[in-house]
Amino acid sequence: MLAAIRQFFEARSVTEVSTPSLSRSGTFDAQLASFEVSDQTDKLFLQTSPEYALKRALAVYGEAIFEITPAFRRGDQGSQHNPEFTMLEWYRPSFSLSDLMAEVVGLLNALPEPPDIWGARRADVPVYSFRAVFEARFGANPNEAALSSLWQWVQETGAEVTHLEPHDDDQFRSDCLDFLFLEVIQPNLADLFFLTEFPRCQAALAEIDPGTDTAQRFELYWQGTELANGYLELRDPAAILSRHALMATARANRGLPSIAFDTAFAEASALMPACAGVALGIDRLVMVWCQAKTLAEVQLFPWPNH
Amino acid sequence: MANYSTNEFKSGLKVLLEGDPCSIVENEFVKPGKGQAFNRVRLKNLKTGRVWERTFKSGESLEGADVMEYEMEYMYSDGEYWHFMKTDDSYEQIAADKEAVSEGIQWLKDNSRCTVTLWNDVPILVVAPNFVDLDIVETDPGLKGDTATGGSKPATLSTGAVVKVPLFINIGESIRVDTRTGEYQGRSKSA
Repeated sequence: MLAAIRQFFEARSVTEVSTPSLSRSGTFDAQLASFEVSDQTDKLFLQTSPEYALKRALAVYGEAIFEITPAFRRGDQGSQHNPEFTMLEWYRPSFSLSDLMAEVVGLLNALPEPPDIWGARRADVPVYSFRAVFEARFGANPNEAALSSLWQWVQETGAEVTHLEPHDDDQFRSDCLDFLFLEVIQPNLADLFFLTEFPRCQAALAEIDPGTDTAQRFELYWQGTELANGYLELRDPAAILSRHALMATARANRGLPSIAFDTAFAEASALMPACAGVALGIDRLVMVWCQAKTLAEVQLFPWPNH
Repeated sequence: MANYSTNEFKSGLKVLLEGDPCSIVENEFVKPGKGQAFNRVRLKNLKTGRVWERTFKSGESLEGADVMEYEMEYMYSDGEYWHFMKTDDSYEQIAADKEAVSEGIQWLKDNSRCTVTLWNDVPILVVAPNFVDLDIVETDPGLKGDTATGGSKPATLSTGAVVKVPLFINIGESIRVDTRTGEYQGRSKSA
């Protein structure tokens, strides 16, 4: 699998790079938790993804790059999650979001022994717009629906929801939208699809398309599991600073530790060429490719019994 | 009892939730890419038998519940309590109150086996086997040869339970009932 991936990128002149797993900055994403490590003087973070480092590399190098690297997310443990996992992430200068989605399909077509659901060679993966499927089901724009309505719809899903508490912030909107998508919308979609046109509150580090007022982000869903997550990358340091501020508010509202703004990363973002980038979970890819139901079935060392 | 965190929730684990003993049926860790992680858990309330879905914050923990299940034999009722005996040769007996025997008792005749759930050594639930064979003590006379029209009528069983049976079934016959749905399954094989 790894050899086929490297071959695919070599043929397309995408350069393999290597970035540190230990860094002084942690992710500022409110819902990702970094492992913290300390040496004698410093507090360091194990990276939740190579995104910040690869963007700094891209700012200097300016051309297409990829990395296959361990990534670490504290607390993510389940049949589809492992606190340590392997991530493939790549960046394509001058690509549009749909160029990159096509390349994801191309990469999967290059892998050996595809499962039946993928088929020998696929050109078409259905694309759904988050905004459109949400409007079709709930009759409201996910950017604009009142938080009280979202919360009510969450209560009406049939489950007794105790993991969310109402907060007057974007993160609460995003968490409600996630829950409604997972519980109500996704079960009625195809087994395999791209999701695009994300709501503004889920833009993360993706550009906003002013025409549709949606985030230029895509995810690849495979039998209920998210396999890949891509952005048309945000480059404006002021916009990155304001996304950080939103996440800082979300963290404060939830009593989560605050994370310092990574100036080096924000400055590097401004120097990156216009590009699209995507991260793909290798462990999950192997799992779905082998038609396994859990990561443990395909891992040599399943957490936590190493 | 020990506390169990969401990542220790396994099918069959007994925990206390809002004062009631519950059994974990299913537990799934869910984390949308950039969203709040949670556990989607199906639980069974062991006092009421109700199964429902509840989400927990990942990492939240619940106190374990001292719950044991035993196979027991139903002996008799004294009107206030129902008496059961363990089938492990200990001859140990316990008495269950009306709340504990609730639905289950209507399917149990003397000396029949059942599952009794004890919480802190007190019986809270009596469950009959999925299928029981019981005699009919009262029903309207059967219509001979009418095996095709598919009509049904109520019939009272020796334990007092009332089930719907086909028209051709008569008093004195033994029938098999699915205790989970209360539905007639057919004449008993031995009959």
